[in-house]
Amino acid sequence: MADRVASMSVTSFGVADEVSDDLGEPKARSDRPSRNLKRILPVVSVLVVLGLWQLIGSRINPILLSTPTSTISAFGHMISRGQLIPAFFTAMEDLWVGFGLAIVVGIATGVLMGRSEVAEKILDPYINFFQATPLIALVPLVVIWFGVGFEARVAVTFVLAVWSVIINTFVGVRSTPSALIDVASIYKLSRWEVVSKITLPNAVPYIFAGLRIALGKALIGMLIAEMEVSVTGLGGLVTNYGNSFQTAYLLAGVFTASVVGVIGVILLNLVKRRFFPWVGATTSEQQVRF
Amino acid sequence: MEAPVIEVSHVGKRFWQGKSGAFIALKDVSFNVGKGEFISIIGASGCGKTTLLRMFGGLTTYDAGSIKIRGSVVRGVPDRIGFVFQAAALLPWRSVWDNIALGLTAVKGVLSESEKRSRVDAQIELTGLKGFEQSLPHQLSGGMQQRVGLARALVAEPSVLLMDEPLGALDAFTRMRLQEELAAIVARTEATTVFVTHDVDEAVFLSDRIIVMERAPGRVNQIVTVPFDKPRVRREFIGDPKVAHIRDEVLALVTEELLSRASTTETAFRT
Ligand SMILES: Nc1ncnc2c1ncn2[C@@H]1O[C@H](COP(=O)(O)OP(=O)(O)OP(=O)(O)O)[C@@H](O)[C@H]1O
Ligand SMILES: [Mg+2]
Repeated sequence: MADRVASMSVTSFGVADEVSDDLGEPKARSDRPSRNLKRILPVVSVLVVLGLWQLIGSRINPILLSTPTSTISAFGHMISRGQLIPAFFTAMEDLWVGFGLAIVVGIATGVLMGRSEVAEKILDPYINFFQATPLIALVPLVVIWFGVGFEARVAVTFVLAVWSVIINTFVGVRSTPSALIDVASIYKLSRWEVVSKITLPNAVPYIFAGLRIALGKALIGMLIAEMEVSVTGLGGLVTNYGNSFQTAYLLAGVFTASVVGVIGVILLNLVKRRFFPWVGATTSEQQVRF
Repeated sequence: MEAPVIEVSHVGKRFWQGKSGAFIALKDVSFNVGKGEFISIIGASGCGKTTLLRMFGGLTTYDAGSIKIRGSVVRGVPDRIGFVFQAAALLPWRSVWDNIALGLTAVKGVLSESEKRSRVDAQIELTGLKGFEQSLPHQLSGGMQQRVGLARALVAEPSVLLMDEPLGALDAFTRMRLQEELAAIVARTEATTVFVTHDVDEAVFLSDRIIVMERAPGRVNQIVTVPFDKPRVRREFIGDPKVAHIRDEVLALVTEELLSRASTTETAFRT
């Protein structure tokens, strides 16, 4: 449940964002009324669903569905009890330490594999193995190794997220146009300069795409770890309120987890826009011959 | 006479092309390039022009004969060469200024930071890119991108300048303007230049000698001398019947090959 909600929140937000990213501007200059309609349609849709939820929820057993209004008041209670804010920060910490490690280790490993065929051949079997393995099954092993504290939650988050970062970085490095590698040879760039000035920048768009996927997985890892390993943070709240059938509180926890995901996506986009404004720009040119 | 800067003797190259076996890209290619000389290589697509140029730049190996630059056999990228690539090959994530400065990587230790800066600024001035120092490559026109590629190749003041169809992607008007700029720049820096092109007029306008190549296997057909003083003024140059004569000669050599090829394929079709 938690993982579905978490990934949904990330992707649904991501999709809307991707569209505006890729097209730059609204594609067709459609006429005004229909454009306005398109703009308010999502809002109308959400309002209608909330209304239906309220209507149906107030008629059936609150354990099954609860209602928007009681979810909001549960939200308020959890804040005033001093429960939600600490849980939110625990979740943020688990997520960003695990995800941060995955970013650093993933990019470093991906670059190594991208630049060295030997490293690629050595690491390839493991990448394939872990990519294909449902890593959630490793959670008990993580507990044996790291216990049930912060380290274990970070480990689960990391292990879920790191593979997408490695693979995307690797592909990005390998996709460097051979002409740019030639440029590096002609101007005698050192090995490190080839990475820092050419192959790593070339991989940046791929890396961000990988980070988007990895963030979704890290979010799942973080919540699973909080639910199954430590029973703490937002995952812990959701588990506990689920066990005591307090559905409104459970849902308030779930929506807060969505907020954690949305913040992550926004942060990634901010970093991309601020530091890598050239991502998405093209320099393709055609050759003319006789 | 001074020793040649580039000596090509009996160079051969074959590529292994998977199932179809070995493909002879170059066979027994020999010629010299004198100091400060401007040489054009012209010939049909696939005759090995890029391959040859890449060999001079140490980017491709050769498997017969020898290539010497300034007296020493080419192994790896020679010092003090500039290379302008077929497509500009700029770093999309670096500004114009940084892209040009990349050309100074090899001489980093030698130049002070302020020398480096004034060199890049001078190149920007020379190639008419002033005001675009901080632009990214995709914000420039194709012609400007090529000029950045040219500036990057020139900034370290190479004694050998290798150019692979640097103007190939441009419209006729921009092309002519850049030809003139190029002639002026090369004259000033006195670089020994090898210039690959598909354009006969361009080759005649710029070169001291034109190497006409043939295809399959790639080899030198003929070397045509263009015995006219520089700087050349285009309007007078074009009107000169002696120039027209040389132009026709080169054109005949290029098209002769194309035509003979066409007729062989035709007969092949019939049988
Ligand atoms: N890396 C390679 N592997 C296999 N074959 C190659 C390779 N590089 C070039 N060739 C072959 O060698 C021949 C010469 O190629 P080259 O790029 O030098 O031609 P070119 O004269 O520069 O042509 P163009 O005018 O189209 O640029 C071509 O037939 C090409 O297929
Ligand atoms: Mg070529």
